[in-house]
Amino acid sequence: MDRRTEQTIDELVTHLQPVRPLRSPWLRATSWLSIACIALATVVFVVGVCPQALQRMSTPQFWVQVSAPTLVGIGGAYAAFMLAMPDRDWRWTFVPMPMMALWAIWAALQACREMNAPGSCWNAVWGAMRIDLIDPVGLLAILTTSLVLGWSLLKFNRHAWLGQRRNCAVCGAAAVTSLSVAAAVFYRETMSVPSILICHVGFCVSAKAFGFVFGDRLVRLVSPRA
Amino acid sequence: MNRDKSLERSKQATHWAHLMARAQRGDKNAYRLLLLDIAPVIGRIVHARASYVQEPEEIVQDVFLSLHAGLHTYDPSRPFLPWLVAIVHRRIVDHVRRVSRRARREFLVDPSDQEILNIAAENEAEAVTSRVALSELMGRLPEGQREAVELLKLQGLSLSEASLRSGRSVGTLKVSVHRAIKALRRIISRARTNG
Repeated sequence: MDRRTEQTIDELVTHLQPVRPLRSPWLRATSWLSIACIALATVVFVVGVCPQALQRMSTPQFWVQVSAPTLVGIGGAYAAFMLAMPDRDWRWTFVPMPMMALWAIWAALQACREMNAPGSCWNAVWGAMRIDLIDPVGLLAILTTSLVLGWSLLKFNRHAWLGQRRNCAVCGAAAVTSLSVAAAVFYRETMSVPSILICHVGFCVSAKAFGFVFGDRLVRLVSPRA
Repeated sequence: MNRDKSLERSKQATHWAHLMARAQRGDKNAYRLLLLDIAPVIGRIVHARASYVQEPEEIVQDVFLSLHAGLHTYDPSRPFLPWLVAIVHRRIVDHVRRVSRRARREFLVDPSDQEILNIAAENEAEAVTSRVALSELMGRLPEGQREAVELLKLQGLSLSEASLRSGRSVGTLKVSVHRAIKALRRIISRARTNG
C-alpha cells in the first residue's frame, strides 16, 4: 500500500466522529414534499384563488390540470432523493417521464379543444401562438417559486455530490417546476394556448435541460466538499 | 469451487457492512480495519475501470475522503459493496474529467525555446517577489486565519481535506478564510494609500 494512503487512513481514523445515517430517501422526499406543499399553499392563500379557477373547479379538466403536474412533481422529487444516494439505480431518472409525456399530450389536446377548431385544430393552435398572449406575471411567479423550491431541494440533497449529481438535478428541476405550475393554476387566470404550452411543458422541459447542463455545478455549489 | 468463492465474497461483504455500521457509531478500530481491508479492493476497481489513469493512488485517496465525508449516506440495511463501487466509479469519472480539463488548459512547450526561457525567468523573478510579499502579509494575520488561507488557497485543499488536516469544522474554515481575505484587502489598500 502507498505511504500516502496509509497516512490518509491514519488521519481519517483520527478524525472519525459518530454519524447518524441518513433517513430513507422515501421519508426525506415525503418531508420535502410536505414542506413544498405548505409553501405553495401559503403562496396560493396569500395571492388568493382567482375567480376563474373557482368557476372551473367543478370541471374535470381543472383537476387534470392540477393533478398531472403534481404527479410529475411527486415522481420527480422521489427520483431526485433516490438519485442523490450513491448506490441507487440511474433508471430512477425515468420515473417522472411517463407522467410528463401524458401531461404534454393532455396539454396539447386541451389547447386543441379550447380553440374549438373545425377541421385541423393544429392550424388554430399555431394561429393562436401570439407572444402578446403569454402571461409574463404567471411565468415570473412560477419561476420564483421554482427557484425557492429548487434551492430547498438542493439543500436537502447536499450530499448528492456523492451520487448521480446530474440525474438528481434533472429530476429535481422537473419536480420543482411541475409543483410550481400546479400551484399557479389556482392563482393565475386561465392561460392562453402559448402560456399553457410554455408553462405546462416547455418550462418543465427547459428546467430539465437546465438541470442537465448546470446540475453538476449546482450540486457541487451546496455540497460541503465544494 | 465457484460457490465457495461467492460464499466467501458474501461473507466478506457482510463483514464490511458490519464494520461500516460500527464506524458510523464512532468505532475507530472498526473504521481502520475497514479502510485497510477495502484499500486493495478500491485499487483493483480503479485498475479494472481506468487502467489508463496515470496516478491511481490519487483516485484511491479521493475515494477515501469521499467515503469519510459521506459516511452518513450509507444505509446499514443495504449491501456495502454497491455503495462503495458507486463512489469509486464517480471519483474515477471526476478524476478523468479533471485531467481532461487540465489537459485542455495546458500545453507542452519546447524547453530549449529561448523566448519561453525568458518568460520563465521573468515569471520566476516575479514569483520570488510575490512570495516574499505574501509571506510578509500572511505574517500579519492571526494564526487561525493564516492556517485557513494556507490550506485552502495556497495548498489548494478542498474544504473537507482542510478540515481533516486542521481539525477545525468546515464552517469555521470558511469564516476564517473570508475574514483573512478581508483583512488582507484592508492591509493592501492601506499600503497603497500610504504610497
